[in-house]
Amino acid sequence: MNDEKLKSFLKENSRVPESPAGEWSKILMKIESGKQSGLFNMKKISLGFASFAVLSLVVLNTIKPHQTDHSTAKLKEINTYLVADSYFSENETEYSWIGEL
Amino acid sequence: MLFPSAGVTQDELLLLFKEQYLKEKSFVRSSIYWMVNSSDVDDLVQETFLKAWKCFKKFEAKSSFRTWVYRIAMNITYDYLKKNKENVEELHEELIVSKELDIELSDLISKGLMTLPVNQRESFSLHYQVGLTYLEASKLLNVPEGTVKSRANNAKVRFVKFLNENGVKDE
Repeated sequence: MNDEKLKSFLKENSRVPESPAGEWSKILMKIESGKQSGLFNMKKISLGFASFAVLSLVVLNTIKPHQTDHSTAKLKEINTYLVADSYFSENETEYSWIGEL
Repeated sequence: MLFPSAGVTQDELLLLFKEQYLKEKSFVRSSIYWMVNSSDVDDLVQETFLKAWKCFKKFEAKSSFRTWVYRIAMNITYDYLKKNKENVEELHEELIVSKELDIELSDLISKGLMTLPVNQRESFSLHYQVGLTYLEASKLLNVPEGTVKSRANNAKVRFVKFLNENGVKDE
């Protein structure tokens, strides 16, 4: 079968099915929904970011007072120790040998 | 053709795109159809133009819109063929079962095409069915003209042999 014969044989006996009606409308609809889903994704990202920021603030604020309480308690303990001046009174006997000279 | 995407509104760009769609939709459709021979061609054409739209702003007219959209179409088609390899093989088996039945010539042609290796099928359908010259097909496929010619000829030999084996006489 030569080329021309084959071409005409194929042309006569096979054909591409017609495009469905409203093909462009369908494509356009998908383009539009793609745009919307793009916007929707942006909204979702922003919402996620905002939620993360709020959550971080809440978590930080919950942790921070604990740290303050902890350091305040430590400071109080040191302060009490210093003010009480128990060091000399408690250790007086240790230096009593000085008086013996 | 140049696409002045800078300073063009989205609506204007969509109008340009629609123009190209109207010009190339038949070509894209037949190129895909002769490769897959399936009613899924509708979905594949839509997918092609959707993908083309997504990249349309980046289209720099280094090649023609036809070449560009054809390559998108073939990427989608090859993916489809990979995913549906089993269905294609089933179609071939169906032919063996229905060999003795009176099947239509158009079905026989479709099935004959599906027996060809994909790269041969592509060159064969572009030349013998879509009606491109070897040179035009080689530009689309981005391979030398000689390669297209030998692929199409090898495919032709196989295809005609298939037709003969299934009762189509060579006149």
